[in-house]
Amino acid sequence: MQDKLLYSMLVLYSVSFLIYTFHATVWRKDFVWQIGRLVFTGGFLVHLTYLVNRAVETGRAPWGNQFEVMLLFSFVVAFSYAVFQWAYKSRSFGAFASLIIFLISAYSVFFLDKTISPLVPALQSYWLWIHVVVTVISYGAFTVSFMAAFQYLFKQSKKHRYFVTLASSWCVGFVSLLLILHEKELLKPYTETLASFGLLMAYSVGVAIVISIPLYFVLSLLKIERFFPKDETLENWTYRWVGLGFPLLALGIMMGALWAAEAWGAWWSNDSKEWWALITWLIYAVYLHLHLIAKWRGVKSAWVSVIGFISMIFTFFGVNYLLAGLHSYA
Amino acid sequence: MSKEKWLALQKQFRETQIARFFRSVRVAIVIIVLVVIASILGTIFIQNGQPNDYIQKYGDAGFFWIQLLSLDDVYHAWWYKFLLLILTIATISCLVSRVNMKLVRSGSLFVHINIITILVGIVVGRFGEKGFLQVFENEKNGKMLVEKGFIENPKTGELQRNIKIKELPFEVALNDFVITRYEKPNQRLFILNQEGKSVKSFPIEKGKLLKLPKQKMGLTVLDVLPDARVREEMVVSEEEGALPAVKLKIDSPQGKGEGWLFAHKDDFMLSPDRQVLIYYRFYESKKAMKKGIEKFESLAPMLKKIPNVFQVASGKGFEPRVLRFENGKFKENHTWNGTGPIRFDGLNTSFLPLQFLEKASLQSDIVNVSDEFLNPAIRLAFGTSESGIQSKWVFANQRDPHSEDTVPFEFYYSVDFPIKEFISHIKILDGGKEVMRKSLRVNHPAKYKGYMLYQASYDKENEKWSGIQVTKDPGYPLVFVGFIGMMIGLILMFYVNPFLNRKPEKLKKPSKG
Repeated sequence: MQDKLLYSMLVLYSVSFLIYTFHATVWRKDFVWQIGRLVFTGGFLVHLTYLVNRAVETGRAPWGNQFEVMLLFSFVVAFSYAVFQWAYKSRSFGAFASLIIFLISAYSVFFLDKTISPLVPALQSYWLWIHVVVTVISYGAFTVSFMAAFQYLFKQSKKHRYFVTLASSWCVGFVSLLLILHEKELLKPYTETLASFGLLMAYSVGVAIVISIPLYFVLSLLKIERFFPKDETLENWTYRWVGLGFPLLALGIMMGALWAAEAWGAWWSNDSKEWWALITWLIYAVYLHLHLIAKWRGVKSAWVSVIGFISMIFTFFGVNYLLAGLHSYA
Repeated sequence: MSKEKWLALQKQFRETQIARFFRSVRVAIVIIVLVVIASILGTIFIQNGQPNDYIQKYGDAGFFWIQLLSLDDVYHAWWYKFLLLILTIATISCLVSRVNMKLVRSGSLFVHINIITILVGIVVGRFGEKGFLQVFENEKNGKMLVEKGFIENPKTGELQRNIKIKELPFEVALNDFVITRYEKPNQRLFILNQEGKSVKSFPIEKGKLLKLPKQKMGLTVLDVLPDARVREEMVVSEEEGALPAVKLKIDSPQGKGEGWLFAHKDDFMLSPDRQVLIYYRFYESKKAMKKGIEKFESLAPMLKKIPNVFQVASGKGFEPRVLRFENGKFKENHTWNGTGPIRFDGLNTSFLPLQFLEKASLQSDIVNVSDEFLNPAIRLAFGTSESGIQSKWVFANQRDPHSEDTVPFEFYYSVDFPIKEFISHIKILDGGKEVMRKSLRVNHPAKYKGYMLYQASYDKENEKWSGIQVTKDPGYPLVFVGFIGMMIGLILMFYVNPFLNRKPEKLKKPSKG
């Protein structure tokens, strides 16, 4: 039953991706898009049902391990996108958003351990509910902001188009590489010395280059930029969604600190996840200072937000696999 | 201070060299970026590790640089503190030069003031204490162990952790230390290689096809029995190697018991004092049986030295009987009447044959006797398309490295009951008097005289002591206030002000970045 829910969710997300793509590239009739949205909403509701079901089954917050947290993340991105399409009446994002949501969900369903394990004593706290949710919502907001920055940069010039494709490819390539190495139990040697760590990062860039070149040509051939909103709109969205996520990430970190003060005996424990969340927050702080005070706009500003997103990806995916710390519950 | 006076002062400050430098957004950005880079370094290098760890990983030269730049303790390095100091100065300069009384700006003001509050909280927190208190059950302790860097061992010259004892203004008595566990066990199947290392592991899911890396092999869990027992049963069998067998009940001064004996040279019963031996033979005819008596010599030489030997004999064409040998010589012969036990004069031992089987074999079977996870076992099926499929029982938490499987690895079925809670029932004593009782659990610390007490570790072997972490962080209230203030500021800035301060989007012109 539970597995069926997951698979139907994946099918609905992937079908909505196909319909959105069909709408964006082939047949721009509004009803096509409406069908896409209907299917997407279906996927979203199944997703919600699964989470509720899981909460009932486990008798706790359904984000107690990595599989559950990842599924919550894709849920939050789906929710943010739903809010987004409602708030901006935008028809341009669907294919992009549903693809990302599908990829994250598929990653959790096929690669992560779905067994229900009871909570270790440190996680038995009401903080689990809110600290995780707030942090993941901020990650969802940053993801939407990244989607806008991606579209903005994609339109600017060939150079920016290639590099933003490369940045996205790196995110996908890096996570996949970690996952494959972890699955084959080959990851540990790479985390042992600085040189091997550097080598791993170099590999991830290599993988990113390999993915990015065909992706660049395919996207260019499809001329997807025709369907992107205006530059100002995209810039505004990037800023707005960073502005939404930034206080939430601060809140998530602070709640983590308050929880740590109750559970670990110190509000800050120099744990790598803590530091990387703060690093991500500081990078977005740089973005906001540049936007609000130095009045930076255009490609430079968009790139700063992309760096913030890359740091977020590292915080969310990389830290657990690569750096030792207290957050390794999964 | 009047508003005019403040504005005049502010103007004066704005014109100073320091303010000009520090309030520039470029400087702010550079400082934040430097803090980011430094913080990243701190997550890449292990912090506060043993010197040997660094030497092993980075070599002597690497260790030299790590120590020189304090990369083994980035967040307490002088240069990191310096960065934070600059950050504080820059934040204050910005605040003072930019403050105006408009509500629109108050969010930003709040955020920055509270960043300073948090930074001050961190500095104040450096005057705190942190230690470890080990308390045994039904004992008390008021001296905590505090770690203070490294110290050279006078004997070996090696660096070791410098541990000091600090007396607390109270004592902690441990009444009881309790561990509770979840009822549902954690089960996993591990695949171990020839060195006994785990190469892969799976959750236990009945009927799911599992794949092993590199081996073209399938694996499935067929059965999961929570409380498995091995049951051996003698059955009539047509298989090759099936032997005649007798089930015998024996009543002797050494003990009572019943069991099966095969008509095989290696199967016999021997009393613990090595005075009595019983074995069983099956004969095709009475004549063969008579010869069997003479062929007593066929027993192994060591068995011949046993003074009292009994042979249960059965077969075709004669009544079952027990033959008695004494010191290697045939003595007498008792035929069984088919009902009561056989007794010999002058002996306290009696023999009662319960069942004779002409062709029997022992079959062992595994059965489940209850639903509680007392002795769990799983049945696995595994194999390749070439080798065919084998099946096998694997009992929980038992290694079986000498198994006769045709596969180059071993299956290990692990079952454990995850810990739900650690609870230390403690009393806090001040001046010998009880002032507080608390059940210390993870996530539920106790607080006394500014100290926080946390359930931190425990005696893993006997559960006789509990490890309590004791901390005192005088900066925490400041940090807490800073958090709340900062959140209020952020909410004002990003959620409230955009609505108060809405400008039509069209009027904004993007400036070139």
